[in-house]
Amino acid sequence: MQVRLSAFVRKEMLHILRDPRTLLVVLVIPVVLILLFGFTVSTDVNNISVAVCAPVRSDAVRESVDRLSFSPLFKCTGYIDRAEIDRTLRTGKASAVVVFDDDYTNSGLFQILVDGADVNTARTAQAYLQSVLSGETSRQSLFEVNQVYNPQLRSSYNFVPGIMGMIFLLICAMMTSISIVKEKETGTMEVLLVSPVKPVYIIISKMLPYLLLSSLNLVTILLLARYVLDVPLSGGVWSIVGFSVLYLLLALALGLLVSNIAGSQIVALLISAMVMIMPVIFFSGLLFPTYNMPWALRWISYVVPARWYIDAMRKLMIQGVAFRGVLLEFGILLGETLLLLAAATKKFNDRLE
Amino acid sequence: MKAIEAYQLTKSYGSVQALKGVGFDVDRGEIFGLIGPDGAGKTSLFRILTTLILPDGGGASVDGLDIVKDYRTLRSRVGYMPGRFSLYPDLSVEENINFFANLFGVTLEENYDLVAPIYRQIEPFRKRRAGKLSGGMKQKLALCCALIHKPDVLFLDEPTTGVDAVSCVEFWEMLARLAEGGISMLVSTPYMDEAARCGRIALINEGEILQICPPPDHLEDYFIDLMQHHGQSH
Repeated sequence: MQVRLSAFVRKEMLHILRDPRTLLVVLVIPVVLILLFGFTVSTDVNNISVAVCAPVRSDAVRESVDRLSFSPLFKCTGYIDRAEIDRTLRTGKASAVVVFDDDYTNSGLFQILVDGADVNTARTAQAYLQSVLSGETSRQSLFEVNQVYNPQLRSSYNFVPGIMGMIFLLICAMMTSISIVKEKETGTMEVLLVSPVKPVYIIISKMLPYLLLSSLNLVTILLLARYVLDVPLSGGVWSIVGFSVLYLLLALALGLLVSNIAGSQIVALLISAMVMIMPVIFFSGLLFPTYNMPWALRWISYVVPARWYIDAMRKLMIQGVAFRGVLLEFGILLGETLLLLAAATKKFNDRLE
Repeated sequence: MKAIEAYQLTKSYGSVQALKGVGFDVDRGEIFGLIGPDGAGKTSLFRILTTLILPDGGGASVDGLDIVKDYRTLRSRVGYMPGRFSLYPDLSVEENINFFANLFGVTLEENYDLVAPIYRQIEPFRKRRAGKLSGGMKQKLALCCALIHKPDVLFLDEPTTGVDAVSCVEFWEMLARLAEGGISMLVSTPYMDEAARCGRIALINEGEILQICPPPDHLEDYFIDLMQHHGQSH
């Protein structure tokens, strides 16, 4: 049986190598995504335009305004009158206005007006302004905010685990399901079945090459994350790799299940997109925090494997917890993997119907 | 022991009855032709006999093995060439043959003598991708792959559809040689002129076998008469 399995795996490898365009896409897309999200797409806000309204320009006010203009986060557009505040915000000349109290030197009171039309920027601008303005007059500041684990609040830290969660699902689940369904579609499955080969060999031989390919992706992603995006990976590389391999197996099992349901490559592709990509985007906590969701959606998110994977990756890569800190996530993923594998192999038909 | 024994096979897909109680048997070393128009139930019959689908009723044994109970053992004893080209177009001729040999735990060298008459014709193109072969070459390659493990019974579902006339003649000559070597064959074809090359033929229409006989002269007229007669009696 050894011979048969290796022949099968060799055949699958040939299929992949003979389709260089797909291979290229599979190998390059993760790199592009990581770099794209790491550098260009970010929720970090820089160069917020700020106008200042200060009827009394005391030394304390001047000092604060200097502080603002030196910060790379802000761009001071100049002093305006109280009457101009509304117009300045409306016309978009500034996205925030700081109004200093007449007795700012003693009271330390100031007001921040932000343009709420762009919620993201507004929230960030408010937080930044608050910290810059009250940070300097520390005598009045009642509390100090410290961002632990990600002191610069860089969004690339957040995206790397998310992209990993998505890419591995895409490659392992989608590519395996398509490659199995293709054999059904072209009729080669008929010939494979009328042979002494056990279905489990067909399954394993489909999984191995894609497991290998995604392991390669895992390596490139981790290297890029560590050396280009400076993600700390402080939980230990082996924990990250071990956890990721489990997730890869889960994705493969999912792909197998899809291939049992789908009758054509197009259907396999659609199911993959609907069942895998959408939930990762909406329910994994990648973009929207899951704890804010209505309970029904929150329950869905508990089932989405990517949610647990991304959670664990954040802990391992950014917070730097040891492996025992993600045991819960590991356990859940392991359970889901076994469940999916059992379902997929049970459903795998060794006849045509 | 007969090569194939089938009795009262029935199969339905929803409300469509593909097979309505089909029975026949095939002797050892015989080429048995299954002649009938598209949609007659030929492919369903092939799939049942090659253990790919289960019959709703009736039963069959191939090479003395029950097609339902002993399907695992049976799968290593038969060769099957489906109706459409079912090899890997992105693999070369050689790679396809070696893969199917490996599937059955044999090598091309081991069984070279059996496939040699066919393989020699495609050997010059052994590095060429299967998808780039001509229709006739594809069929020869598929036959090679179906034969590589020395099957006792060979199932060929419309092996000459879409193949040029010269290649067809060659192909049937090969089948005759294989039958002389003791391989039993069930071959289906929609072409009447090919029936003459079979030992016996079964005329099949709308899931029923109309007649089993040695190939008569003027088969076409005979078949049409038979179909009309059958239609009247219903």
